Amino acid sequence: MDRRKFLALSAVAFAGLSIAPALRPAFGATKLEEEIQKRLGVQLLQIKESADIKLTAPTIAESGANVPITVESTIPVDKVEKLYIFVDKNPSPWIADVSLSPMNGQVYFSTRIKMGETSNVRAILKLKDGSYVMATKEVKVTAGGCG
Amino acid sequence: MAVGTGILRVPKEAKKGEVVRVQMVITHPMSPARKDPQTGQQIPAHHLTKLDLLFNDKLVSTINMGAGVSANPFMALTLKVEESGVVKIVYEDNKGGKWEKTAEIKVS
Amino acid sequence: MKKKLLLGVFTAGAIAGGLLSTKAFAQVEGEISPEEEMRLVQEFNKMLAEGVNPGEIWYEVGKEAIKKYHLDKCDLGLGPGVFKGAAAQLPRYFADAGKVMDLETRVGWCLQKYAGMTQDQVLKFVRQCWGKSGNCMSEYDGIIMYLTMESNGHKINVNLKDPHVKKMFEMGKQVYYTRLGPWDFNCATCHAGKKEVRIRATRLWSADRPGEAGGAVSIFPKYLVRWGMPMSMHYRYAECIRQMRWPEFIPHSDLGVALSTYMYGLANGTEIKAPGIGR
Repeated sequence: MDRRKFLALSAVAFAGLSIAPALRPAFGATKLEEEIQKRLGVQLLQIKESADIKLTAPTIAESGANVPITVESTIPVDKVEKLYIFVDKNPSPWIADVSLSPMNGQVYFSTRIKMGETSNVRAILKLKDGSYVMATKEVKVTAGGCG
Repeated sequence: MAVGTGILRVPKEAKKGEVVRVQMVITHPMSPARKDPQTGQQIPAHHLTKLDLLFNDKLVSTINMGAGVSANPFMALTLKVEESGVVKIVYEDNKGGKWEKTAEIKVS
Repeated sequence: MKKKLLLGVFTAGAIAGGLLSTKAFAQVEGEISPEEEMRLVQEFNKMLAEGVNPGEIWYEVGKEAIKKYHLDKCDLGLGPGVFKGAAAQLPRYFADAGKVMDLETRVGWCLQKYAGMTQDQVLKFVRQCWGKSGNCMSEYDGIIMYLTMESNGHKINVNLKDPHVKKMFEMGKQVYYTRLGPWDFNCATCHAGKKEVRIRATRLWSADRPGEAGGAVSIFPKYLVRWGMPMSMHYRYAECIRQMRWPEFIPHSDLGVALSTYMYGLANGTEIKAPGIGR
């Protein structure tokens, strides 16, 4: 086949690939997106991932009943208003929020959360200037052994 | 069961300006609303809703939580201490339970 | 002819794009090796052990219960009411009872002697939270937690030179390695051998690898997050024995004492560090 035909066919194939994700049926906002919109007043899509916030959580959790998570940030606590914890796939994605003040000394929160299944855990910081930053970690929840 | 019993752990001493860790464990089922598998009846949720951290009676942090936090939850925050004083946590659940615990820090 | 070809390529592109973005592909990419999975599970257990162990709540429960049931009169081997370091030298022979006893059996004996309980009442007291998968706090678990924590930092030193204790040690060892029950299981089925035994991604400790028995028993009672309460050694025996389809384990029986003597005997030298925490 000549070059023109080849280029035309490639363009068409590429166009097909690009719109493929949009062909997936749209179910509307997920529960997570709804919760975030409700509690933060912004859309999940608008919140940027940032390396300034560190979310420590195990990659594998032997039990979904008690998953240790720790949130820290290099952002000075004086600039931070609140910290939110969400689990994408929980029946209720909102887990907790923590209001922080300069008396905390630093951005730090550690706790244990419940997870029903493998899912992303998200730590979202609301800054005093109204902006948001986020860290996400996927935790695989497995059934442990017997015993 | 002694719901609401808590452990509040802070260092006994610290230097002025030091950031110390405040560690807590509260006895609580933290259960969501669910159906009794045998009777089919709805069992209402029973979980902590709020925990305030205070230092010398000034509010430092508030944790709002639901049944997504684990049973007998461990929680930790940090506190910058400029003076000696009393660390206090005041916490409540959705059934009207309300408790508090204190611990002292000596700051030099 | 040209239109059909274009449509075909377009559709093929769309299908390929759709498939690439589905989970099927993502899962194949995300599979991890068994070794990596085990390492990650160990990391999880390490994270769990940080912070404050909820099992410590039972310490205060036990402190109150000891007063309530007059266990300040109980002699664990170092004198009546002397609890610091006492759990570390158990099991041991008690002349007043005429037998070797481990911590739980001795507490059961003291409950009968000083709190006026019958043997049946003791068993009920022990089993108060057994089978309850949450929201249960028993005074017995509190007592065992308190007494064990009072030995934190003390090295386990079971006196294997005492002939009574040695006899129990040998009996425990024999039971440990004897296949019984409809499945021909024994403790050694899971907890022995030089080679690693795993259940899914959890590596099991072995009595035949030095130091591991110590690592296992020195952290009991162990707070189990799936039950929201601590598990004592005798509850552990009851559960293992049930899972092996052996006849029902009776708390504080000679079988329990024999197993404790064997395992704590192997654990000599290990520092007690209760409560542990796990799934």
